[in-house]
Amino acid sequence: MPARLRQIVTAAAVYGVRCEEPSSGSHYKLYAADGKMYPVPAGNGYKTEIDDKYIKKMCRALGLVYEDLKKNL
Amino acid sequence: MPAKTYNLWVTVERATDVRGQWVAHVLDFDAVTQGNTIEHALRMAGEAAAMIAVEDLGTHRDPTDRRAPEEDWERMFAILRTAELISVAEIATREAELACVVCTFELEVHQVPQPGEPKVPVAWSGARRLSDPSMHCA
Repeated sequence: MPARLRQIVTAAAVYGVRCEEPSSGSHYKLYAADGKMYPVPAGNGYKTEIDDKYIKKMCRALGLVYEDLKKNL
Repeated sequence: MPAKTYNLWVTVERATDVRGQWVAHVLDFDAVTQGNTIEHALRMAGEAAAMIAVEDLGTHRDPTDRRAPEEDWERMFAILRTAELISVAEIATREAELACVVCTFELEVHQVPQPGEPKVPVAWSGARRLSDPSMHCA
């Protein structure tokens, strides 16, 4: 099931992930607690609908458990 | 000025749960992004890959350590075995009939000297281009 970017940022924040909006480009940056960055497509800002495949890869990259994150979306 | 070049494999497939979107996966960096068309998704993939390379190199990480798991590569090679080779120009006209695109692009990242530190460059900037004018489509 897809989710809006705002929902993903809110759910990931529980695990210490912070979101940064660059001044240019079509991606925001998500940072894990250890400083590792993963770009998130944000063509429509926080309203952007994000495919589930992205959410799974983001969780893998940032060390989150997909099933746990999905419960908070 | 030091530079690093990466040849990256990308797959683009229709999104399974967001209508009208194409999902791009840069396997070498395990980065996923999405776009409204195949071309848009490829541009987004280039931007995401450049962001990762610049960020990781700037924090003394190796972006290739992010490499996608083997099952993703096996899936891509399985697609390649049955794919048809088409030109970039054909993508827009044949998008409706395509299910998946596999291609490579070259990402070049340069070190940029920082103000006050002319001898110790610490920032990186990226540029990318399609390294192969043809794509494999299924």
